[in-house]
Amino acid sequence: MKAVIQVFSREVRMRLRDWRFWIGVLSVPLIFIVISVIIALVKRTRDPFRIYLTKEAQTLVLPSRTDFSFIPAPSTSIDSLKRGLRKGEGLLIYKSSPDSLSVPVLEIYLREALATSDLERLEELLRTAVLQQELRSCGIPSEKAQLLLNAPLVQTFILTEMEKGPKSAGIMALLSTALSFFLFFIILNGGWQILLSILEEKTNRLAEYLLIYVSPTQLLTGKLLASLFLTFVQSFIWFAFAVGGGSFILRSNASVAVSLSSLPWIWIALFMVGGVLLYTFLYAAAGASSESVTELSSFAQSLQWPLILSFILVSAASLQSNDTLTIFLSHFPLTSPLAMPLRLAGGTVSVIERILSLFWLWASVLGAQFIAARLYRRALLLYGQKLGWKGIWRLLLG
Amino acid sequence: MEIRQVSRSFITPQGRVMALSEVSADLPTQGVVGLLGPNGSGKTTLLRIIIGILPPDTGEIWFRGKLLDETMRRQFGYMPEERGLYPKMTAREQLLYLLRLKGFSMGEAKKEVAYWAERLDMPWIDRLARTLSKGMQQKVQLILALAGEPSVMLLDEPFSGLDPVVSHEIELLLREKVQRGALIILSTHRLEQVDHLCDFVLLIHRGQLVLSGETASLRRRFWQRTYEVEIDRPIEGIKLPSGVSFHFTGVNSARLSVPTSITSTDILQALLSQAEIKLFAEKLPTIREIFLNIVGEV
Repeated sequence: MKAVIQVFSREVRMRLRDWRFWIGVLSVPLIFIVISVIIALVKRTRDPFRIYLTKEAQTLVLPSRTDFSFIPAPSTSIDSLKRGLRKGEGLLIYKSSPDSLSVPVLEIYLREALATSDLERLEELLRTAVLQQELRSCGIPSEKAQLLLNAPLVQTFILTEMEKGPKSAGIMALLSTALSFFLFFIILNGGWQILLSILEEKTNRLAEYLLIYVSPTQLLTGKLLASLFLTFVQSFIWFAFAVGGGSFILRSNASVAVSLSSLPWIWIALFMVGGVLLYTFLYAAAGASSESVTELSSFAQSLQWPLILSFILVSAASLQSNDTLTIFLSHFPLTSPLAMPLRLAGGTVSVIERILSLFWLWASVLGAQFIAARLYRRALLLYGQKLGWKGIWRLLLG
Repeated sequence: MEIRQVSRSFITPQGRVMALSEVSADLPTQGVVGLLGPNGSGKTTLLRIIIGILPPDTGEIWFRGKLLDETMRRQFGYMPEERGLYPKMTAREQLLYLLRLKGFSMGEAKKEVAYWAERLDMPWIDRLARTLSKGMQQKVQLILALAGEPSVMLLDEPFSGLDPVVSHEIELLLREKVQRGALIILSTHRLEQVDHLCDFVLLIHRGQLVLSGETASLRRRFWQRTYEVEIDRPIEGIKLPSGVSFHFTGVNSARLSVPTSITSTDILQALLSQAEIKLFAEKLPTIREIFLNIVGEV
């Protein structure tokens, strides 16, 4: 245990000291911040869009805003007003309903097209102003009118479905994609960290010294824990930046929140941890069998393919959690860490199926650990020799 | 240390290769043992088996009356032939890390590092390993083998790539360790060092032990009745008993090869009757000569 802690602490210290780690950690939040700042600056520096109001339109109560400014039009003809419009200007004509059965009409004339989002915002703004105007004309006080204009929130909870688990295809797709991506990221990030760390020890001829005092299993475990820890630190930092958006989604959609809390998280975690361990040990084996980064990439690519394939298949199957392909993938160790959480999110997997799939996955983890430790001990002493698949096979059997 | 019938083979693309074949030797418990042999003879494999990185196919190793086990091996110092350092760590950091893996507490490790940094004059100990010269790196690796007063040190090519000054410094250090009771087994290609550094020699060739014994007794055993002679006048023209052959090494000096029928007294008497003798000594073969002789024959 002492040796594992030593290896763990060295790996963590070295990674934290590496500027590339911090580039990786901070790149996403930095990009996010930079984009937000640019958008804010662009919005701030942009002059408000000027909307000229004809005489009747001036009866509407329009709020003062930074994106739109409403200005009374000079008292000339409509045609000359239209002709005089320049870039960034518009004309609003309001035709109130002549009787109680007609709908009031708003006409907006623009010199150039507005962005869809801006136009939608303007239309919503004007629609609300007209409705307020109409309500006021019916003698309803402005506070009451405001209240009536806020549509009530309607929420539907189907208890039988909630007991089974979330059925919403949208939520399922979101969850499975998010889980798959998270796992995919952890495996790739953690796997490459371990792989490069082992290669560093091999190419720098340190492995022989290490092997006297530490068993390959201890060494790999220390590296694995460090890699997981750092990946979670990285994910946590990213998560912290995403929390604003996330909490907004949960606040505004109670059904998503209920669905998330009803997921079998322990089962999902067991599959995810198993998946991370399985792939990381396989990556470690690849690191031990390679003599250079070039050679390493061929082994690593061979490992990435089942991962990429399962990611694609799981993403494609995310709307049908119980089709034959997903069921098959959820029982195959290399794909079950991605596929089974999808089925679990669907809430239709029996306990026996869960245990069986978990058994195969964790048996594969032990197998991968055995292979990685064996290759580490044997292949690391073969300096300067290109092993290839045949060589690896011989080492494992010999 | 007793090496008993140790064999080890490897599977290669060319088939199974015997790296060591039933090697047996009794080594002294104290002193410097030179492990000699051409490239690929099995020296490194033997050292790896002793330290426990490789298990032998057959055979065993005993030390001080006990079968060598993990606990005993952890007390050994080891300097592998293929050695390196973490390039992005300072010399001090890696010494502390590797010594802690070896079982030292943080306090002990710091004490050892401070002692060796002063002993080996390492003002650069806080520099990154990638900025150190090979000699500097070798000192760091040597500390890992020497730290903690191990009873046995296994050094695979400890002098390779070192300049004569650092080499000499390390030789003195090893001698000091031997005086304190350590057994040092080292493999080396620098055969000229073996005569004065090694007390015992093991010569391995093609996986087999072809020669072993104390350096001094081996040199005597392989002595081929040659004498170094120097007199006060030109040696050419001096008459010696028939059968003695000359190999001139200077105007007044020569190396004489003497057949078994002639004694050293006969030579001395012949020389004294013709000149004043400045030097008359047996010319013992060097380990290098013995090595080349044996390997050539095998």
